[in-house]
Amino acid sequence: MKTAFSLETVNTRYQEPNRNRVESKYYWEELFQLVGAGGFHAVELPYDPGFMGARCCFPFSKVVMDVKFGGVEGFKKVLADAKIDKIAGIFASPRAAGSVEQYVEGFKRSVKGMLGLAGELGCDYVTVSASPEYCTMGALLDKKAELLDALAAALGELADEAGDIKLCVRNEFWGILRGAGMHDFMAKVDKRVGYCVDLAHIKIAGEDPAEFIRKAGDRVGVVILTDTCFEDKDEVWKGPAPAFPRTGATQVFKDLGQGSVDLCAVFAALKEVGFDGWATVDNRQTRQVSRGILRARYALNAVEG
Amino acid sequence: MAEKNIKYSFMNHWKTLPYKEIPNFRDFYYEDKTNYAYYQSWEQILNYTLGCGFEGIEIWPMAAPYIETFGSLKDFKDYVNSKGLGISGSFCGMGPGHIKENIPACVESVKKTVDLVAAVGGRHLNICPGVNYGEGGGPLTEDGIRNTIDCLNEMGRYAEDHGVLMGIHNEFFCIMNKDNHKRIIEATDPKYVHYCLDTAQVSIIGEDLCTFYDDYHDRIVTFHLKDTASPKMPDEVRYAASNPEIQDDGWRWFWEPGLGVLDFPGLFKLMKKHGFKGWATVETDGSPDLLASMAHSSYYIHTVLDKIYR
Repeated sequence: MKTAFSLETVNTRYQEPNRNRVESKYYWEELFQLVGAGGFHAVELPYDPGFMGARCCFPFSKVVMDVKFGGVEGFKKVLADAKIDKIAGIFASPRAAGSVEQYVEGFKRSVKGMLGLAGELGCDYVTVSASPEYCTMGALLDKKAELLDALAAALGELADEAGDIKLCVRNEFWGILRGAGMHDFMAKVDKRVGYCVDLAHIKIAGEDPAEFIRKAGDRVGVVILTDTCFEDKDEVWKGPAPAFPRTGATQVFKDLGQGSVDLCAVFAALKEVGFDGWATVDNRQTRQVSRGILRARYALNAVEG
Repeated sequence: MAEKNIKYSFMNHWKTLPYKEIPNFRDFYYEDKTNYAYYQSWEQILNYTLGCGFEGIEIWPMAAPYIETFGSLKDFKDYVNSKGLGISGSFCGMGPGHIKENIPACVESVKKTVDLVAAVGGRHLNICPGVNYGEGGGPLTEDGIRNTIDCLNEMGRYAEDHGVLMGIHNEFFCIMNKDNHKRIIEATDPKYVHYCLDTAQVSIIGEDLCTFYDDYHDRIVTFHLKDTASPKMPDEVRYAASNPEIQDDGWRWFWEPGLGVLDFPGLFKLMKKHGFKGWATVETDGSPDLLASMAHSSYYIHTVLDKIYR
């Protein structure tokens, strides 16, 4: 198993003290050094080509890499200078659209764009959420079965285009494929498409992450190492902005090792199913990125011995 | 006390605020014991704004976060008003209206922002008159200048019909720039197209702030008050293909009023001379701490500028 660090850890959209720093290149150059110093020599990138264009230096699209880093090779050189020699993968979440056809077409277009960039970056995986947030789905909810069948078919077509890049499906607690619901869906999907197992999302949806991994078996494609203490007793997953519960402000996603996910059990389950892919740390909602890098390293050291 | 001529608002450069209010604030704070909890709700930000002596806020057109938190624009407006604050207006971009075939789509997009401003009770729509120079293939051609003028006139007419004053808000990295800035202002219809004087942007473009205001005061209906330590930047900086708005090394173009080199006392003497009345928005883009910027700006206004004109 190989470990990577997800740049989704860096908050770009929500207010927080000193939020302005992340807009400049110097921030990212130093961040990459800190990621490398924390013992992570691979990163995962969010894929977000429509966000802020190249006005800011969020390296989440080809256009930013071209304008701010002198292209894909220039970006990879900045990473290499910080002892990061691999972009393990990229991921994206879709947004709901009016009809099943529109949604699936948009999904396919987005994944094709991701596969193109992933090929240029030399990534091993692309992960994509198959379900938008429940509360944004509107009329799509009435056609859930039709939507899932169409998505399963689309993923099969996309697996043809993925080639050596492992295409995986993410499972968010706010989507219709939450928790154990993912297994029924994956049974319909081309076997080349893997699970992207996000530990905190599984736990919040009420499932045991280690048991989930055992059920997924050899189809585990990527593991996202996230942590949480959050218990969704009020079904905030159905409402708007579920990562920020209306029922009471809380940090839903904790730095790795700071929540209640049993990492030892997860690693034992991964060993049982023979997983040898990427396990990517994602400290989304961290209060301090550099502290979170070291917290994650401490947690991994404790599990791996 | 004599009635004030200037109403101050603060530009809402806060990124998405996930909560409307945080009733469990103390518990939320104890989760990580950092100052993070102090910057997460609209209630906090609006309280800070009022506490620092501002009378309103200016917003961005990305309405989704507001609607998401409040349910509707009206609910958002009502909540802001309930805090004793107004909404002076909004900022937005014109888009690539320098290309003729783009004008209808650009106009439709700006109409939505006009509607947003009207829905929240705002008075101003401050509009960047084009895309970035580097992104848009500047400089503007003669056709591009004519299209920009036509586009602004059409947008301004819609705004005027809906009770909103649309003002050109130029930016030093915009495709409309030093060579055609004044020409476009003068060629647009003064009934529909007004001007929002961003003190730092216009100075970085190369204009003398006080001379510019004196010359165009009859078009200027509102201000974005911010300072700069980098006036009169050369073409190669403003027109850079690498997109100069956010500098790679963290260099700040903009500072809180009083922390740069602009002649704000001189400007306020001219505002008094021309009898300016209306909203002036303090804007502190690039600040690491918007609350500190808010307090610093308020201190400067109340101890320096108010003594000249208020």
